Amino acid sequence: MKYRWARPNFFLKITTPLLPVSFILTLLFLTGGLYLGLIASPPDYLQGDGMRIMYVHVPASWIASLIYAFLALMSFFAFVWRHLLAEVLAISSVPIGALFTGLSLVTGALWGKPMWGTYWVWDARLTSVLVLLFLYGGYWALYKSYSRPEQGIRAASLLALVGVINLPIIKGSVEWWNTLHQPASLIKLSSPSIDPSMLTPLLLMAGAYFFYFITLLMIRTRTELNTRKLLILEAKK
Amino acid sequence: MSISTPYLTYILGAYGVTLFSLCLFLGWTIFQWKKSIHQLNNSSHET
Amino acid sequence: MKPKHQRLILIILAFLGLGGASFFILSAFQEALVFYYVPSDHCQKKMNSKQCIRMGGLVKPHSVHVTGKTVSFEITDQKASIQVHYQGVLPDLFREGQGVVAEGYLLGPNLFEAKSILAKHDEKYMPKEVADRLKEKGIWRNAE
Repeated sequence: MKYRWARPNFFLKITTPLLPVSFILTLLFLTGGLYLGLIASPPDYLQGDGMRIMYVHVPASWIASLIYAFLALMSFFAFVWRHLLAEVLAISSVPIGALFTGLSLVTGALWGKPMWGTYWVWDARLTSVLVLLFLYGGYWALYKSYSRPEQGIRAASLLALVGVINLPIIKGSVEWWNTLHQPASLIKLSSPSIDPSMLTPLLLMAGAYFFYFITLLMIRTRTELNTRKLLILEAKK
Repeated sequence: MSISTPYLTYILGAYGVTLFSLCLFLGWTIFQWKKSIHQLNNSSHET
Repeated sequence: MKPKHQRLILIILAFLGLGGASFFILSAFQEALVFYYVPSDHCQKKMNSKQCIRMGGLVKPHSVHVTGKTVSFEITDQKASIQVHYQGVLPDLFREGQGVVAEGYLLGPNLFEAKSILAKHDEKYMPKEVADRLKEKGIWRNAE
């Protein structure tokens, strides 16, 4: 029992000073990103001001995939080593990942309507991102469907690991198949096909989302650890 | 950005939804956190 | 063997199995996952005129004609092109030389009746001044 709690306590100790730092970084990146994205950056040669939606859409998609990779890694540790901290980190990251996936889909639709002429199409990219949202939803549902968190995490971890298959599909969909969605602008070994004046707000927003994730993860982890302590206290009565 | 852009509703919609959701989610998360601390304190006082 | 090693091996085997299965499934459904056909596809495969399909490619420059509410233009994939007729509102990104996906029916070997038009965007983002400068220098590659 002792070693199960030792590491979470260590985690709490090192993250206590990090929490305000991460929150302040979120605000700084967000302010910079919003100012450059909405006001200071030039309109696109083809899309005009509609391009500005990209600054909230593209980073949301990146972070949604990043959180899934994190969730899968934590699920792997939780499944094989039954590590308590990994379990707690995994379940704490799920709602944040679902939030960013949802934001990616909604802002993408709001870009798609004026630019493509439709809110939604069933092309490989859009569908695989929707599957990502269902994976987050499925994880949450499986976890909550067991009365004891130790049991729920087993089933949910397996789902998360199976779902990893979806990550390369999201990434590759725009290159392997004809999709309506455009291929990536930034992740290319040759020069990225996006102008520096537009890349800066994109990266600032990505930074804001990243630190938002870190901040929220730390808070949610605390909540989850409290809830588990509470369960143990109740069981002792 | 010029206010007369034809995409104004879509842009404000996208930024609005994003910022609103981020704030709402942060608020909800902090609320749950405070609640869990409160419950834990109550429970340990009882025992 | 310790239980945690068993779990480790189990998860690796499961992952390999699933990865392989997904690869084969995706390869098998290659055709169905394609969002649109290009004009040079349809020449090889005889398509049914009653079936609703999507045809994608670039809008051929100088091929757009507007008569009343009807727009007609050619979609090309540089190998073959097809004449498209369409009645309705065009999306904002619809330009000559830009990518487009038309949804509708193939009426003849070279005639397509579109129900809806979706504009396809490429992955280039740049301010107008930069685009103009590139065009002046003549290093602008038009929607390739």
